[in-house]
Amino acid sequence: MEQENELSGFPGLETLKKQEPYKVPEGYFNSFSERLPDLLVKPVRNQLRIRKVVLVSCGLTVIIAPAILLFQKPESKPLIEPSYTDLIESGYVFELDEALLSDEYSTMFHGAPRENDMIEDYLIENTDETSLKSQL
Amino acid sequence: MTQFSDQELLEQLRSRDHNPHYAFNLLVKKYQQRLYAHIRRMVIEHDDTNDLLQNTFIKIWEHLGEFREESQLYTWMYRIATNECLGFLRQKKKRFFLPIGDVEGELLQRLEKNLSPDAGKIEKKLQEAIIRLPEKQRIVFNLRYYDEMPYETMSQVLNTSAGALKASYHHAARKIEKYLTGN
Repeated sequence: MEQENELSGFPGLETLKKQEPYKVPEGYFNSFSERLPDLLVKPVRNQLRIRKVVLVSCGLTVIIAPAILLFQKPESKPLIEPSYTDLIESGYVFELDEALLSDEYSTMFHGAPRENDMIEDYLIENTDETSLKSQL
Repeated sequence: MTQFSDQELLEQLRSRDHNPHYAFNLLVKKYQQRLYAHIRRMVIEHDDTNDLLQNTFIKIWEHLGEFREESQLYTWMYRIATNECLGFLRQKKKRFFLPIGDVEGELLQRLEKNLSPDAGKIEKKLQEAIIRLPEKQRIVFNLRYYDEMPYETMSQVLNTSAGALKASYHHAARKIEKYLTGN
């Protein structure tokens, strides 16, 4: 009644017969209410399946990740210092160039004379050979 | 078949003594036609309506536990259905980068093949006029004109004041009248 009053100012709408304008496939509502229970169960099943997959993958990650980390870790075996005989037997020492060694030795000190060298030079220059022999 | 009230159906759905699926089936049977018609008037195509009606009932089923009875059950169900429709239309605009007018155009194109064989020229014209309304006005007009929903109830569905809805319905009716009479 109230609605009819509302439409009184609109004669075009007022005179129209009110009816559902769209066609619905025959038997649609019967089949819809029959199909729906299946649809209600499926999402729950899917959710459960998703939860299971998530749980299993989490479990696998917990197991596999530490194992991978363990295998990737560099071996921490203590280094064995080579003995003198090992060095001799390896023949590596004989391959070293003496000139290279002396060059390296001198550059280690940036060319500056060592204090020990200065003392040695002083002793060589100022020591009398005969007095040294007699002392020895 | 006994027609249960919403309150009785709710009690059966929540009670451990009853099979909730059976009670829900009764609820579906009670409201499927009304919700179908509400959705169909918004999206026009039957297949889209079928998908949205399914989603609506699935959401109702999933969220029944959260329903606090601050509104009537059927108001709450209408709200879910309306939100589904609006979401669907928005997605359509986004997916195809369509301006609002083009969605209207698409709905108008679909109109002819979806109309009931009983629908005459004037009925077709009425539907064209409704589709041309802005989204919100279209919902308000359909709920009032076809479902004869009181404004107070509609305000719970659309979360808008009854006064604003009354004004919106009046604007919509005026536009439709103009389209029908050509004035």
